[in-house]
Amino acid sequence: MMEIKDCYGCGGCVAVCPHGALTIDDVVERMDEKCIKCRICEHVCPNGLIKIE
Amino acid sequence: MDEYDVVVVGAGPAGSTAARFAAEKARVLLVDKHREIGSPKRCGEGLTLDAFRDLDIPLDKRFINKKIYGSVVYAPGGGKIEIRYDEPAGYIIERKIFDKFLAAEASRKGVRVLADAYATLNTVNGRIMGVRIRHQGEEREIKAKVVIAADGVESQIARQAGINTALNPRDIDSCFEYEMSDIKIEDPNMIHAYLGNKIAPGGYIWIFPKDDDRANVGVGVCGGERETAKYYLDRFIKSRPDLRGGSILEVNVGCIPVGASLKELVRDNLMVVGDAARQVNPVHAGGVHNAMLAGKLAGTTAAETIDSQDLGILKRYELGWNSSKGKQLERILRIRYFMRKLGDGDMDYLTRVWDGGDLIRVSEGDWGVALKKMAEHPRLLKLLKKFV
Ligand SMILES: Cc1cc2nc3c(=O)[nH]c(=O)nc-3n(C[C@H](O)[C@H](O)[C@H](O)COP(=O)(O)OP(=O)(O)OC[C@H]3O[C@@H](n4cnc5c(N)ncnc54)[C@H](O)[C@@H]3O)c2cc1C
Ligand code: SF4
Ligand code: SF4
Repeated sequence: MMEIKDCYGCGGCVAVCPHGALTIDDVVERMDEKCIKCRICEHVCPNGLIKIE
Repeated sequence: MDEYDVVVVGAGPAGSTAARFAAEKARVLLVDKHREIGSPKRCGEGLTLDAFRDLDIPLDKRFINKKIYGSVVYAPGGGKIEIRYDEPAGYIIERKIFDKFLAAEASRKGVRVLADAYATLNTVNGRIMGVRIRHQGEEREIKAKVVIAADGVESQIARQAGINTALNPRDIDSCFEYEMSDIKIEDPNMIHAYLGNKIAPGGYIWIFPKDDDRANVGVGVCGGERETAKYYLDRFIKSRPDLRGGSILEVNVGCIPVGASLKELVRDNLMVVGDAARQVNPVHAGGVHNAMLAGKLAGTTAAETIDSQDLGILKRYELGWNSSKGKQLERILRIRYFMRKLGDGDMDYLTRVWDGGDLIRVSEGDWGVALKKMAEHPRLLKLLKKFV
């Protein structure tokens, strides 16, 4: 499960995702089929908004 | 279907500059996904005088908040390095107005600018045909001979063309910033930077004054730290009587790609510029100046390409950048890795042996005399050898 709450749309997580699993217009969205839950994106969010379980 | 010679995605400093120079010999469309160009801002808004000179930008009161005469860098143990000039060396600008000004300048040169237009790359059988945009809920196809990806740190256009732009988290600065008012700033004519592994691991806290009692107060920390950027900033502010009673006028959240420039800046008829190409200074993380320099080089090259109808010319942008600025950013990246390994005591030591000039030269990738001054510290020299 992955939850992104109140995203600011800064794009940091998009820049580090090695699998191109995140897209962003105003806020970020995840494409479930591409995400391998490596959790890399979790570590760059300036406000810790990404939670992966 | 609309047709242009060049379409630029992203109207930040990189995109607006690229568009303006491309328009000298081409029909150009510049699109940005946001409803307002320049907003939300993700920036400390510091820009050196050189940037204005290099790009021939007027020192226009409408986007200049404050003249800055130098900087003070504070080490965690109380040591500091100060560099002060008699004349303004830089400015704290108002990015929202500055970015809009650059886009308006581009439009004066003939560029068609369109806000609220989210773009994706349009490829047919592997060939880049242009972009698709969604403008106010309506999808449109834009045909173009050249596409310039100036779509910032979150860049997806370059990825859609097959260029691997994914960053290692250690090569990103995760940032949180407040614009604060009613605060006490020790010297509002200077910018202030606070270093320390507990204060801001792998980065620094900045106070960039926009007024005598108002400033951008922000932090950048190396991606991958245990705590979030917001945690470090809030903790710093709480610890400072001069800040903690202040008001918050704006909250800015952003990430800076500090892993030095991509090598592949051109693929087929696509060019990548600015944060999308990671063209940021890896030590101080300033990116606006470089974004505009790259934009100018890319835009000029695109104009020549259209003028001569020879796509082969596009690569000149990549060659030109990689052989000059690109190389410099590589050197600076190694300095970033070196600095990442410094203990708090090492930082204090360096504030004792270096002066402001040394610090500035090092942050531009030039060790020069700074190295000699570290001679009595063999451990640091040894560490340095690993990286430089
Ligand atoms: C907190 C923080 C503080 C900073 N402080 C400073 C500083 O003091 N000085 C300095 O020089 N630099 C600073 N930087 C770095 C600086 O902000 C960037 O380097 C600079 O903005 C890069 O310009 P750019 O044009 O490449 O990208 P951006 O300014 O990010 O512009 C990219 C544009 O592309 C648009 N876009 C993205 N995707 C699409 C799409 N699919 N379709 C349409 N449009 C799209 C975005 O809306 C955006 O407007 C800071 C960065 C941060 C995060
Ligand atoms: S968990 Fe990994 S693959 Fe999934 S979105 Fe985050 S970075 Fe991408
Ligand atoms: S890093 Fe955080 S705030 Fe930034 S786009 Fe990703 S989820 Fe949103």
